[in-house]
Amino acid sequence: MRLLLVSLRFFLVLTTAIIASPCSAKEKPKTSVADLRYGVALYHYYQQDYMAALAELMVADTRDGIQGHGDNPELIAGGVSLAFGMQNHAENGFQEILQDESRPQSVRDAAWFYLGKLYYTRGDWNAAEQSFARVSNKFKPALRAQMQALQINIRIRNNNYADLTLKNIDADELRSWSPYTFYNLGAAHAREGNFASAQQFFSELSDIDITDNPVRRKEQWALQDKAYTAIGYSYLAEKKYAAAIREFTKVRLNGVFANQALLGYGWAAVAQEEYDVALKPWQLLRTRSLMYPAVQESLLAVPYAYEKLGAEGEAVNAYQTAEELLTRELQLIRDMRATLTEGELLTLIGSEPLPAEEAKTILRGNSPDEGALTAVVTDDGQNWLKLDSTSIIKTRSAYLNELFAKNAFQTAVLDLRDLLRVQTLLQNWLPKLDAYNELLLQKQAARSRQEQQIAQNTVAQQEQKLRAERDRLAQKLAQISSSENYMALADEETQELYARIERGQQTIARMKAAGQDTRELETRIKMFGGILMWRAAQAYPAQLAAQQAELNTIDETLAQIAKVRQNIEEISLTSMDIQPTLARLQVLQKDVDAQLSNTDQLIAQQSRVLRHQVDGQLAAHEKRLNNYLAQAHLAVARLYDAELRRQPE
Amino acid sequence: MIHPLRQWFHLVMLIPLLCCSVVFAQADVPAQSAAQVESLKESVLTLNRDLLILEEELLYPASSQVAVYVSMDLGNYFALDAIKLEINNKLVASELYTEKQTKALFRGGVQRLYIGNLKAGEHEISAFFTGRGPQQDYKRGAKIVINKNQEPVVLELRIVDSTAQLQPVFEIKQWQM
Repeated sequence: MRLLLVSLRFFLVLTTAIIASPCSAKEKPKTSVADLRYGVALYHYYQQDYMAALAELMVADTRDGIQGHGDNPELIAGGVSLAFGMQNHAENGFQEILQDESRPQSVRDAAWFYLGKLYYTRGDWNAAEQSFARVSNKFKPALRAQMQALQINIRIRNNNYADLTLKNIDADELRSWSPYTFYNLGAAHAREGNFASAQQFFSELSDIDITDNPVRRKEQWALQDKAYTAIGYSYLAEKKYAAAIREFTKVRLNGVFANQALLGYGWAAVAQEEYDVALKPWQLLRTRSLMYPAVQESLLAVPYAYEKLGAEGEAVNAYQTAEELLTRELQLIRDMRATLTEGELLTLIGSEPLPAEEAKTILRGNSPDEGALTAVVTDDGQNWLKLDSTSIIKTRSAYLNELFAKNAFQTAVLDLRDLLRVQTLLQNWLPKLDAYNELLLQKQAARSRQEQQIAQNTVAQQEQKLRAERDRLAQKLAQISSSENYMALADEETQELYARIERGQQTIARMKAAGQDTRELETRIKMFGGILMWRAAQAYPAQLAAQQAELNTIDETLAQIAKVRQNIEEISLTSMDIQPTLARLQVLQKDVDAQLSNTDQLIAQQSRVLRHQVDGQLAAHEKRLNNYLAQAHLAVARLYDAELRRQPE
Repeated sequence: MIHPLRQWFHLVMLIPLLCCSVVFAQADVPAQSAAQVESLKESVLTLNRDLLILEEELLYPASSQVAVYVSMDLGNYFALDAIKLEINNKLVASELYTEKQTKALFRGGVQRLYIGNLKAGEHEISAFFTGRGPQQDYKRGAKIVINKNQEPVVLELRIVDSTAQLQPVFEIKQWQM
């Protein structure tokens, strides 16, 4: 729990860091929102809906980009990518910003800072150090403070912190990060056995001003408890038992480090052979939850003190009680190992996150079945940037707390949670794509019918008109041909002259009827008629061929119309403008299926990893409890044996 | 004879080590698995983008598209509870806001409240805002008449603090596309 409190602080500052860019946008009047898509991306981002935020930015980028927000969209895209665990994507984004020398210093600073954090998160200390070194002095002080804390952590990691002392560290510049930095330096010195230096840094924490802010106050109390406990153990290591007890007594009894402090208190007293003094903290400890290692150890420590005080009877009773309790606890762990299957973990991680406050209420709920796993996913830690600080699965089960604080575990959890979200996203597309497919097909059919109708009507009218003309011409030619009516195909002049001949013949007939002599006229008109008929007969084959050609042309046109009608039918059926969309949709449908299959495989893989980690942790606890149980068995046997030896034969 | 005394030494080592698990990052994360997950995310996000573009083209072609967004200024004079949106007196969208949503709006986020289609011609868009102010509850409306042509219509429902009137102002802005 101490870790968690420290972590919460860490995450709060990180949150501030990542939202720095959007906040600066907020400082301007809202009328400056030149592209609403950017605002929509922020809206999703602020609600931790990273996929929707990235989708918005990606769609905007594919269209004409986001205008009027300077470098914010790129920074926010990098930040959201980091939040969604896409480190390589974010890295590329920041690198692109940095390749452009014309970018303002504030943007370059932010990019170097986030890049440094990204490398830090990956454990690439050298790259992180180099990136942080590129950040200018003009960078925002709050973020500089965070960066300096991380730089000191890197020096600790590289074992290059010997020259860092309380005197040359500017606590004001580190702002709220200073307590964590001091603690980390103290812990580093303690690990190296430099207890005096460690105590200096730890002591600095005991002097921190406790704020009025209730959340921060709890956190600071926890940090102080942690420091007192650490100082106490460092005094123990130096065999300064009285000083150790003094530090342990400063730890709050209701704090999360009270168990370790009580245990240490007892051992410091034992080291001074004050066994009755040791019994007091240990007996208190023994009444606490057996899930905590310090409490488990107290089960054996109490009878040990009784033995030292010469109270063998009490010691035997205490060992037997320990046997009972440890046996019960072991069964609980075995039950937990059986219960926590891959499916169970998937359900847990895939469940709706709870508000942090609600989670705290549940966790404070003092469930009667203390060992049962009551882990909950909360909404305050669902951010990869909070990863190195906040457990997203909180549980009352202390057996898993240690595991939950590990980055490998949290990464596995976050990967799995993200994969489940990806799976949901893809699954949600499937019915929609089916519906769109159906929609397009119906649209295509409707449009085909409509187009077909329109086109068929126009062409049909043309065809009807042309066919009537053709029939008329064919009939005329057939009549002319059968009657060899040369004059019917003669040219206009010949036909006109021949009409005059026919009128002359009628006149001659009337003259003849009137008794006039028409013989000469008849001869002349017959000659002229013969000449005209001869002329028409001469031209007849050519004229007939021309008419036939015209008929053929009409037939060809009709054939073309038939072809056009067929084409229209074909085009209507395929609907060329809908077809590409339909094809695009079907390709995407296949992609969704393929990606869903990949996601399912990765989920199975990741849940196996997670289950393996959880089971491994529980197995380690089981082993430890078994060791305690074996020691209790041996102790009881030893004490009975000693008692038997003492009895007269 | 047991020697549980040795256990405290384990604990003194344990505490600083626990601290480091907070400070130091996930260098121990299996790189291959992380790369696989990120690669999948990248592919799915790209696919999702293509799907969203296709969906928009299919359902809301530019020639008939109307989109309505919501933005909020400082929010000192108004805590948003709900918005109802009507087009030509017909309810097309309504939203009851959670604390998370209003916080996102206060911080500069913009919500896409509605996207739909409209025929060419004149249309009346009305929005009704309900919420709480420092002194009183508010139920206000804003209205705009738009002329839809072949270009998409983009409207922003804006809740702005009027420092002059010490109360919220509700307006609808039409964006030129």
